[in-house]
Amino acid sequence: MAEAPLNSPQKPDAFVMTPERLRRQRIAKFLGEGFLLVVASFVAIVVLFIFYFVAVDAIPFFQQRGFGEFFTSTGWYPADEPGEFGALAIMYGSGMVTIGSALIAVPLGIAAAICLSDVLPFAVRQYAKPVIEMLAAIPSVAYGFFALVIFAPLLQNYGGPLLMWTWWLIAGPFVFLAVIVVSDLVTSGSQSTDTRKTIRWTVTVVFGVIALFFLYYVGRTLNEIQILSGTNALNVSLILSFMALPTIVSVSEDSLQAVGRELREGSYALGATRAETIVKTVLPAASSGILAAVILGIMRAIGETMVVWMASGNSSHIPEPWFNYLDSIRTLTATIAGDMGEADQVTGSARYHVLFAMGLLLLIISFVSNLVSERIVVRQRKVLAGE
Amino acid sequence: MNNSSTMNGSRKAGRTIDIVNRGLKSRYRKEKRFRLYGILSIVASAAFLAFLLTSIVMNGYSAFLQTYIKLDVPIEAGMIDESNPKRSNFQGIIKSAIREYYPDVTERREKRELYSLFSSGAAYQLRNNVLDNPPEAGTTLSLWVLADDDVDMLMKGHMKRDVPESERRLNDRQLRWIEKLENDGRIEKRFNTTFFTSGDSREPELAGIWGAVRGSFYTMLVTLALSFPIGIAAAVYLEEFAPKNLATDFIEVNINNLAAVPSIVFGLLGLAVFLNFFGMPRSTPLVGGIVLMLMTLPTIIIASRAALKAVPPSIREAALGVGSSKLQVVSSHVLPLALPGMLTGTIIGMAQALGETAPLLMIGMVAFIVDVPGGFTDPAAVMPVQIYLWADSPERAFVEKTSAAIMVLLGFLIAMNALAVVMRKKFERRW
Amino acid sequence: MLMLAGALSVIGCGQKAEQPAAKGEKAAGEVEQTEEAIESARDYISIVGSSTVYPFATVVAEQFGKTTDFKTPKIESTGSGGGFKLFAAGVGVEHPDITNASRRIKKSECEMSAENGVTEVVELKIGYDGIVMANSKKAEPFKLTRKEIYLALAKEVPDPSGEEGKLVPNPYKTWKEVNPELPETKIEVLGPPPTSGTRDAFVELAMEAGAKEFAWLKALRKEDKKKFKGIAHTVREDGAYVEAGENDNLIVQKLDANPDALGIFGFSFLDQNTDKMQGAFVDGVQPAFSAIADGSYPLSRPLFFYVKKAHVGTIPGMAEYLEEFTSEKAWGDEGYLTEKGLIPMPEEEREKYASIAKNLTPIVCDEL
Repeated sequence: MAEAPLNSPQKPDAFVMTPERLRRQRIAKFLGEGFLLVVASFVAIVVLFIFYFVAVDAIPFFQQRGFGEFFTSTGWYPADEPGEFGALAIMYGSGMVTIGSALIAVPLGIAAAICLSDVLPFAVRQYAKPVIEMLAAIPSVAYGFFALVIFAPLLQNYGGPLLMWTWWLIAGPFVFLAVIVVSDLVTSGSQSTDTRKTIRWTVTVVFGVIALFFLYYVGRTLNEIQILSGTNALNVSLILSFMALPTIVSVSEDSLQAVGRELREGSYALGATRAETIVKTVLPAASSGILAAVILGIMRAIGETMVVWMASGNSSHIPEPWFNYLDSIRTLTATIAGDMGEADQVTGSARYHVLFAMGLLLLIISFVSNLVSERIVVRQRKVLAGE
Repeated sequence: MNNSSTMNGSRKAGRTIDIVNRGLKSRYRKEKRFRLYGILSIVASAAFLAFLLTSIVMNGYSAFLQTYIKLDVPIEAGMIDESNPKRSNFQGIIKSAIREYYPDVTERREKRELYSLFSSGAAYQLRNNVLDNPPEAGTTLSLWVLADDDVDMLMKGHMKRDVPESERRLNDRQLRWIEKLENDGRIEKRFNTTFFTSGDSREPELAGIWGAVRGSFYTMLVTLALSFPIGIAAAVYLEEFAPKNLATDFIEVNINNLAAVPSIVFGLLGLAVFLNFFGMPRSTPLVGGIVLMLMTLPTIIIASRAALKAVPPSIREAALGVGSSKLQVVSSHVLPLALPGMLTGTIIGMAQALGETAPLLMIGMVAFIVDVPGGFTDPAAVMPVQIYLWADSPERAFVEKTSAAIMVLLGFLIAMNALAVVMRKKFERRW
Repeated sequence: MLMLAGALSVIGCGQKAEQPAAKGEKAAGEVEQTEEAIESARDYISIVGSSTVYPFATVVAEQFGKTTDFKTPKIESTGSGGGFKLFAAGVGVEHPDITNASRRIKKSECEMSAENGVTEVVELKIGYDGIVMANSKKAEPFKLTRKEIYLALAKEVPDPSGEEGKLVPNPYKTWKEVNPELPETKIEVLGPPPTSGTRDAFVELAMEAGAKEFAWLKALRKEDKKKFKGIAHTVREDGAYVEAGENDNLIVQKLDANPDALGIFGFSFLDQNTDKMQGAFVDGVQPAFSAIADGSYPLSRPLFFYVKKAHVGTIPGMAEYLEEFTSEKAWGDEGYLTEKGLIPMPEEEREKYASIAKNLTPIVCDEL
């Protein structure tokens, strides 16, 4: 029992903390923690290391050629002697496909996230979530192959009709919704119930007919469009949007979940419908997290290489007119991947260094976006915890 | 509703409830539409996914079958060089066997067209057969040899027979010869083992992904061996030992930044540092593995941290209570409990690395490599890079091979992700 | 981190990168030193270079690997320029043994190689490649002259009014405007991007030759070559010439869908797609094997590969690889390379290069 004090030598096999053991433990702790610290710092230092090495090879370009041409000229002729290194058109191409993919992925992603977190019953959610996760698991080369071999010919051969049907399928419901909303607004003034109903019906029908004609006319014009090159900005934007979607959905969903039940239940208690709760209460509360999700999704799109290399056409020019997504473009990532073969890999020249300059640009954009999105997420957490 | 007993109260109540009821219908309508949009977006994603996968499968499933032709090869005396059988003229033997089957083809141009129906690999199939069981002179071997990729395309229906001759790659004469084979039952499609056992080739019918699979395997080994220990160590430090100071913040921020680096920049790094500065060999799994390790680290660290966080503080406190040092708490108690979660994260990280292509392009893995790699410093291709190379080839038969390769790659990825999910379910402990 | 550092140092010590030696005197000593280093490491041939020669080199490599006990050479498609830079960097295991090229080595590249210790370079021509302008078989075949090609595709052309010395932005929108006998279809040509060797070759063989047909331009070439090249090589950017990317399969599909358009690519590709495409006549000659081989088709260029003599004997199999490539069954009139679309050289040329390969006769930089 506990009669003998712990330090008594009557129990020789008891664990007794001697000064010797203590010292050994201290040494072990120092070494062990030290080793772990070193490893963790290594990981952190790798980032700086990457930045350093890319910058070291990028700076010679700016020393040789200055900043002006790179950022303002569209003439990209690296093979000429002396070469021209105007990367403006390439940056424009990167921007074009990023914005294009964001336009598709952001509404789709946020809607899907809301659906997953608030709308769908749990059982259905079990099936829906893997669908989104599968999109994330597909390797980029498979997307690139699909874009090049299946989607590009589709666009080339059936471009017009494809655009027409997409227009009808997507714009259609929105237009009809607008019709209903507008007719609601217009007829909200009157007092009596019966006349108001008939007026509303006639207004709806009139607007509906106008909308139908509008849809039809635009659709037929789209049908006539001949897509000359299936490898273009539209192709890439569409595929990239599905690649960015899983990121946006999962981070947004986390953010929506983080809002917590109190806010939602308070809203329901006041009599709001589910849609109203989501739109008016939950979304604003999660808005910063959703913004962070969007930024992360956009980062994914900017940094993607294989899909753009295979399916963007790789033509370094600003499309005519500037919003023409049916034209081929070139992005920063594809230029790095593609031009490295021809560039002077060994002894160093402007052609080699300019690619590192592009890499540096990409790196800076990624870091800044990452930092911003981190800040936003941290702030949201603080705000929610404080409330 | 028209209760006028209480003055202001009921009238106000009436009005509010009226207002509410009036707006209710439209609000319910909005609710339905809202739900519809949400569901539509999921449906759109599912539809796209289905379209993508179906088109790849439709293009690729035919690659699992390959057309073979049964050829009777008479081995006469003198054909096989006794002293060095490997150097015998197997191409010539095959050609004479073909000529025997089609005795009325004599003109040189026609003979070339006839020979082109058979794969150039047929001679090697004969060679392997002869070397394994040396035949006696005078016997006739009956071999199923590979057909040329054009014949394969025809038999699979990708090449139409009823279009005019100039729009076909096989002319009418060749079609007649193939019909003769069909009538004699000597041409059929069999399971394509070549696809799974050989390396890359310029001839589509001889091309396989085994080389790429092994290359991927070696690369993954390097990545795993490097990133698992480093990742776990870093996660353990950050979760268990790191004090809350600026240095720790700095480390955490930078680990997040590492995840943000675009993949092509890792390729630039691999090129500038590992190839140019350190002089490591190009196109090898060793360099590929190191580059991929840098990309996988953030995934492993984040997942491991989550696993460590999930272990309740009571475990730690109990261990401390019986006198363990901090290090013992972590190594003997916390770590084993968090290990399943860490492994799950590692598997997911590996799956991501398996599908990466862009960084490997820059370190020279875009090369024609036929031999199956035997070690870490042999030149190798990995599966996604092989897919990329085949996607660029002019022969139409490569389209189905590329799709089949994507199917194999996706198969691996799905298996790995499923393993991770199963592990998570099995070992997840509810505290 | 310790493991990583350890691994890196072990490997780094084994194969240090060659610092580019700017001094010729050092080069000789270094060559001997690195020859010993070669013995240890690599047992496969490392080849880089042109993407045009790549399809042919890979076939030979595969045959070589199958028929001998040597390992199959590893071939990278880096482009001719990039290949030369890698090749010229020095002698040693970490440098490639052979580079493929769709053009001859330049004097500057040869001299740079020598400065880095690559003093004995063997030049081997393997055959010819034709560049064709093709359209879909659904339309009529085109008959063009090089002058018309220049006028249709250049950014700036001589003033149509005939005033000498004056250039205007290209005004021609249809083929008929260039030559009344051509169809009245919009000028639409899909071609390779500026980074492609095919583009360089096309611009030199077709457009430059076409520009020279104008007397004053021809004179300008003698006076100010750079300015002439600027005029002759620059392709119009107003949409008539579309950069169709590197994937030839897609170009075929585009041409199939749009029979009015023409595409520019290598003859080997046309050969693979004769069921859908037909080549345009250039200066009256239709692109065909015989026409390219005997030189009557004007848009053809020779293909080469360059070998480091210092590596032969140390990297196993190089002599045998050369033997395979220069054998009749590979590059002869009935060889397997011809089946892939390579145009073979005339017999005397083949014999000449076969003996150069056997004797490993190096080229002299000054003769370039």
